[in-house]
Amino acid sequence: MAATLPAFPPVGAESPKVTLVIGSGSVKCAAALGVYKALTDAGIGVERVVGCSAGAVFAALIAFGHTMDDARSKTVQLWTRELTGQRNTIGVLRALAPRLFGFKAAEFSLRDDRLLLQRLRAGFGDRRIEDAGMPLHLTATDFATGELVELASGSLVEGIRASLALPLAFAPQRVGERLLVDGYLSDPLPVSVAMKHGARVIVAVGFENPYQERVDSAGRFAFQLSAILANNLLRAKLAFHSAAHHSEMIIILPEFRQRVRLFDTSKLAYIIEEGEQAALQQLPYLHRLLAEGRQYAAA
Amino acid sequence: MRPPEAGAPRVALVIGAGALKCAAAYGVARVLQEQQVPIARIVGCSGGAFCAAWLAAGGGDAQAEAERFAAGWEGAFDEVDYRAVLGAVFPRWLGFKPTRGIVRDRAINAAIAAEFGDRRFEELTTPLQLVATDFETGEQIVIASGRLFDAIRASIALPLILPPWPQGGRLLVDGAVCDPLPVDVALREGADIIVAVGFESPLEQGFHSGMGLTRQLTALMVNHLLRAQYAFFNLAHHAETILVMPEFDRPVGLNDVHLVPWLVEQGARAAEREMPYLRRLLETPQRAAQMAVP
Repeated sequence: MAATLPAFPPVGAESPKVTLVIGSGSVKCAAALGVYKALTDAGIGVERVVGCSAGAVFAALIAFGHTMDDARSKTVQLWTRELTGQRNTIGVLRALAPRLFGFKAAEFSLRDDRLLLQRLRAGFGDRRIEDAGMPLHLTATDFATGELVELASGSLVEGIRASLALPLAFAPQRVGERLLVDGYLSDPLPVSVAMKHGARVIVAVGFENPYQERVDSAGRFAFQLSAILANNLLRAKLAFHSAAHHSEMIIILPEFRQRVRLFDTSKLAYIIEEGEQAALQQLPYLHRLLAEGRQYAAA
Repeated sequence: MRPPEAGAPRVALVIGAGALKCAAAYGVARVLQEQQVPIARIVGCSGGAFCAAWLAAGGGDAQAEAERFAAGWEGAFDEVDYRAVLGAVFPRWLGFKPTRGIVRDRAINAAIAAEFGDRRFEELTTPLQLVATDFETGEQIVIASGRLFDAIRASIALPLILPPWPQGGRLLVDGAVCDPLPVDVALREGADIIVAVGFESPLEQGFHSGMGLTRQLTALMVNHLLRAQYAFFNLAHHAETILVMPEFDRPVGLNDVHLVPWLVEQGARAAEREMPYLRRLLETPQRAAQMAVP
C-alpha cells in the first residue's frame, strides 16, 4: 500500500528505541506527529506506541506507518466541527426528561456518533490493532469499574472510538463484554501501560486541559470540572511515575502560545511544529539516556 | 482531645472527601480520643471538613456529634433550585449562572451555622487547614484563617449539586476536585505521623439521568485522583502515613442519613485495625523521628 510507506528515514534494527505515549488533548495531540518526526530525524526509533483519547488517532497513524502528509490530511478530514455538531435529539430529550424518554447510561449521548464512525472507517477501514507495524495500545476506561483498559487487539475503529468516547457527548462503546468510555477519565497520559510492557525509555507527550474562558452553560461547567480533575490527575500520575522511577521518562508538555481550540485544524502545521520543537529540546538528554542504555547492554 | 507533648512525634489527622461517608470520621475520632492519641494538626476536605473543624475546636462526644452531623445533613439536598435547573437547560433564554447549583444551599448553610456559628480558625485549640478548589484556575486553596463557616461551605461545595462559594474574589468549589485526601497539606506543615482517613466512592451500576451519569464520571475521576496522589505522597515523603480507609459494602447516597450509625461503626473498626501500628510508632518516638528524616 503506497499510502502507508513511511516517509521518515528508515531506522535500523540496531538503532536505539523508545516507547511513545500520546496523552489526551483533542487536536493538540497532533503535536505527537512533530515529536515522532524529531525522533526519527535524529535516528531514534519508536518500538511501541500508546495512545489515549484523541491521542489514539495519532498513535494509530504512527503505528500504521502513515506519511506525515497522509497523517495531516487524514486529521483534517476527520476533525471538523460537524463531528460534534450532530445533535442526538432523543439523547437531549432523555437528559431533560429521563423518566418519560427512558434513560440508559449505556446508550446515552448528546451527540450522534454516526459521522465520527463513518470518518474513522474512511480513515482506518477494517484494520485491526494487532496488525500495526509496531505494538499499538489504545487506552479506555471501564465504565462499570473505572479501571484503565488497554486495547492491543481487535478492531482499530472500535478501539479509537472507545478511547475517545468523550462522556456525555458520545455514548460509551461496547467492546466485548465491557462498556468503555474515554481513556482520559482513568489516566490522561497512560505511561503506566508503557512501563507494564517493560519500556526502558519513554517519551510521553501530554497536554493539560485548557480552562473555560466563560462558564455560561451547564455543559461548560461540567467541562471545567472535568478539566480541573483531569489536570490534577495528570500531574499526580506523572509525579508518582517520576518518583517511582521504573523507567527513564521524558515528558513533553508542548505549550501553545497561540490558543488552540477544539476544532482548530487550520493550526495543524503550527501544532506539529510546536511538538517538533519541544522534542528537539529534549534530544540531547534522550541521546545520553540511550547511550547509557547501550553501555549497560554491552556490560 | 489530648494536646501533644514537647518532643513527641507530631501526629497530623487528615480527613478526606466523601460526602455523607465522612460520618465514618466520627468513628475514627472516637477511637483516637479514647486511645488518647495526641493530635498536633488537622486537615479536612469536603464532607471531612465538618469532623475536622469539630475536632480542632476540642472534640468531645463523637457519637453525639455524628448524630448532629446526620441531623444537619437530613433533607439538606432536597430543595431543588428549579430556576437554576431551567437556566442549565436553556442557558440562552434564562441565563446560566455558575454560582448556582441544582440544590438550594439554605439547609446546608443553616446546618453549618448551627454547628460553628461565627467561630474563627484563630479560636481553635488545634491548628486546622481546610481545602477547597479555585473553580477558575483549578488551584488548590488551603484555608486556615477567617470564619469556619466560609471555609467549610467552600470545601463542601459538591460539584454540580451545591452552588460554589465566592470568597476573596475567587469562586471556590469542593476540595475533592483538586485534592480529595490532602495528605500534602499535612506534609507541608510538618508532621512525623499522618493518619489519613480517606473514602473511595463506589461506582453505581444503575442510574437514571444525565445528572447521575455526570456524578458517576466525577466520582470515577476523584477515585483515580485519590489513589494517584496518595501513591505519590506515600512514595516521595518519609513521614509515616497510616491510611484509614473504611470499607463500605453498599453505596452511600447523599440522602442515606439512616446509615450514619453504621458509618460511624465502620470508621471506628477501620481505626481500631490501625491502632496497634500507630501505638508502636507513638511509643518509639525516636524511631518515628528518624524515619521522618528525609
